Amino acid sequence: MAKLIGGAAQIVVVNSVVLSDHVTAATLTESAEDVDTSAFGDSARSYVAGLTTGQLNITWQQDYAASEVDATLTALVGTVVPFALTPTAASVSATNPKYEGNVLVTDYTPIAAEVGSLSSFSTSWPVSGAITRTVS
Amino acid sequence: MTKKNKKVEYEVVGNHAVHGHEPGTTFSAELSAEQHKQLIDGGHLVVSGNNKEA
Repeated sequence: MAKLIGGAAQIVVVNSVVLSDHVTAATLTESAEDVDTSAFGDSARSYVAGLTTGQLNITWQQDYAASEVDATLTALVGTVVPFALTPTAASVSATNPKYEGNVLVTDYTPIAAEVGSLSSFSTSWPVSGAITRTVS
Repeated sequence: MTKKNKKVEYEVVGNHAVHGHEPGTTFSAELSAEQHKQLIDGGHLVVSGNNKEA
């Protein structure tokens, strides 16, 4: 199995718009709560999986031009929108799976400026519902 | 209650692919009213063809 250079051509889609060319980092995490089922008499703790939680973190390069980052994200705060991530721009396959679902856009930083630095900002959005993985 | 969406023809006028369609192309879709507004307000789509009244 080939190892992958991060950011080679990752596809980041938010609200059905491909915005990869303004993204420098994207992380999707999924975890399950651990529900303790230990009882008196047990010698070790035992668990079952509870609800799952997903989080989509993206680092953006700001752009105020028409149809770019600011114009796309500013209207999304407080709404649930679809997202999709694939590791590379190749066709979706067993070695290039697509992860998708919906996120609640809870934060957006329209202004993030520092002298001498590229204007960039990060978002951290909770996944609403399940994350699906497709390979075809 | 979910309002039924109708199929509308859109043109991708922004710089990025939308719903898998490249800039400059058109496609028909039944977008939700919310996404319809978000994508048009964001400069990604315009209604085209015979649906301009939509």
